[in-house]
Amino acid sequence: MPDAESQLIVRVLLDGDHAAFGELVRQHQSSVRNFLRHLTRADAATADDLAQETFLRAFRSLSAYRGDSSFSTWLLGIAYNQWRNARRRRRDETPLDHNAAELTTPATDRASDLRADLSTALRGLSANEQLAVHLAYQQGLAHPEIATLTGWPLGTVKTHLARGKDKLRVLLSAWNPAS
Amino acid sequence: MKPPFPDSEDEQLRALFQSATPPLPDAGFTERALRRVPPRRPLALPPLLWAAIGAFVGAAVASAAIAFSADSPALNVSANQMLSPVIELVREPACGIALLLTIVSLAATWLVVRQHDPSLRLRRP
Repeated sequence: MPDAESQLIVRVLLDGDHAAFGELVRQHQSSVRNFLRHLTRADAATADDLAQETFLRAFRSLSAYRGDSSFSTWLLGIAYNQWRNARRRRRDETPLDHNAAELTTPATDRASDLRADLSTALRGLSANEQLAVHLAYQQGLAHPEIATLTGWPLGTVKTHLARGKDKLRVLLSAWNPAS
Repeated sequence: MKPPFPDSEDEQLRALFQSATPPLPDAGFTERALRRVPPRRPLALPPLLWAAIGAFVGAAVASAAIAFSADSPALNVSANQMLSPVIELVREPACGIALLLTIVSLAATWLVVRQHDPSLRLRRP
């Protein structure tokens, strides 16, 4: 964890420093919101509501953060639990399906093309493969962190990633990811 | 953070994903989050002082209760009872209640301080 981030966390813990917490939110809002947009099938409004809940929960339970994983991973874990709780409340037991693979960030033309191709390619993956690929390549998490966050065994994480990567290698060949 | 088994393909996939989804603009998200964060409840006194106040209040209540029952037979302990004066004191209802009040007072003080002051919940790695 970067020293600056540690200092912000300590300031929030010791002084309830809102400015420090605001800085933490600013630094991590994008990854948390992107992750929730992935989980909510690109429902930006729901994803942002859940992201707000995530940061509120993080503020309240910051003392429980022990530094075992990066702060970012800890936040994503809270976001994942928020999403699962929300889904349970809505009794929407539909598993994350192929429609989850939406990348909705506004961007440049080239990025738009790439985004469209990535979305199409991700639809060819199972829900768990999509989640593993998102966490590994979009969020940049290590395999053990993905295992902790999802509750999957490490071997399962590697299997999902390997299968997802095999499929992406074919589906994204135009972008030449394996060269 | 890089995965434990990085290879060029992983790096390229990561680059692809990250170039497809640049960081989301904040667009007031942080401000909304901060508005929802509860203000810190005022508690200017350091936790040890609160603990001392709680202990003092508890001890005062206990002393008052003991003084109130000063003429209690339990305090006129016999030679045999001298071996276990604390037990005899506790057996006296007023003293038992005083002891209970002291414990409750200390516990309540600790809970209040712990609730208000996050530093008591800080777990250092």
